[in-house]
Amino acid sequence: MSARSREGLERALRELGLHCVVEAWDALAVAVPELGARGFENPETRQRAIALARTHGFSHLAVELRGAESEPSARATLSGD
Amino acid sequence: MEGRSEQQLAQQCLEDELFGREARLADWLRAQGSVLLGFSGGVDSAYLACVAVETLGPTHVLAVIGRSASYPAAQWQSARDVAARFGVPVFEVDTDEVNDPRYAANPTNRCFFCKTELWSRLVPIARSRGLSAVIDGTNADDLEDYRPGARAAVEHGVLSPLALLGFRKSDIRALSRVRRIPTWEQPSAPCLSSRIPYGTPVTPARLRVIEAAEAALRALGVAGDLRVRYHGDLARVELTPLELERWLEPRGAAALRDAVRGAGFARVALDLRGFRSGSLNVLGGLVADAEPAPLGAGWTAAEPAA
Repeated sequence: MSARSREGLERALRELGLHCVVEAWDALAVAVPELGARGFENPETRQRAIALARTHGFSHLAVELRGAESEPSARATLSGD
Repeated sequence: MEGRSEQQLAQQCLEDELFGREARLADWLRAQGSVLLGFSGGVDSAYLACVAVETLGPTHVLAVIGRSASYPAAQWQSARDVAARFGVPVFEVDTDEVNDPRYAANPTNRCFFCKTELWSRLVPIARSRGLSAVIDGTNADDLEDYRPGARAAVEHGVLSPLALLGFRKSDIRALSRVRRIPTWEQPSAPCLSSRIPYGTPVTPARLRVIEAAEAALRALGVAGDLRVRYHGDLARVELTPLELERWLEPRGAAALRDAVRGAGFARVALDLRGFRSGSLNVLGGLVADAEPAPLGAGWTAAEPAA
């Protein structure tokens, strides 16, 4: 697997038309779409996104399901309970 | 044989092989005389319980459910239902591996401590009731996986007849279907601790949130393999490819998000590759060693208690 690059993946996803911020959690990349942004529901786009994640060093790619009420401050921490 | 297609002949051979294997299982059980079965109500132990009762009769079989916080409560009910339907005598004991610090630290051999706790409770029950053998539902496919829990079974003299006789998961599903055991198409259901990455402590509170989230998704109509993976305040949901299509659509995504958040997670993400068994093992750099699972040689009444 290539060296991990959060910024690289974020840029590549944007070039694919997926407007999101990428968070890196070890080998998991979490794509946080900008409000109203779509595209991950398209199977072809999804496959390309997964391939890009691998290229940028991530074994897993997940997309956060955001509601209109989501606030950036609520997404700042990684640890939970 | 005349007039039968090659496909029909192949199917007949397959069925003969399966039923032959089941007959060997019945012979093996007869040779034991009586058995105590570690019973989860999953595909393997449900099948084994049914064959054991049919072969030995209910007075020579005891299926023991080891209840633990690391399994969803719904599973115990499912186990009781299967047992009641097929006349399997059941006994229930509580296990407490979650309060064992060696287990709670969530090392890669976590399952060893869980199964050590389980078998250290079940083997004495077999002895006290005069049951000849302690058995479990480990199958031949399991032997190819990393299964540290299998070592605990060996250390306690537990036997795995399905694995010993070469039953694969697909064989067990096919034979369960013939017997109309409802578990035949049940998805695999490993313990809830498997949703927490190795090295992240297992706590009763975390297990409860995971259990509630998965139950909420089932109630919502999610079908097939499903895992809610724990990443602190974020739940990473793994679904089958078909389900993924359905729940990525805006309306489905909103419902799924609300269900998981209602269970206690602050954030919800859908894994874009979908369900993968052992998916957490490759995250965080902690990968379990590939060690083939051993098979036990059994115990006798003369052995000291474990």
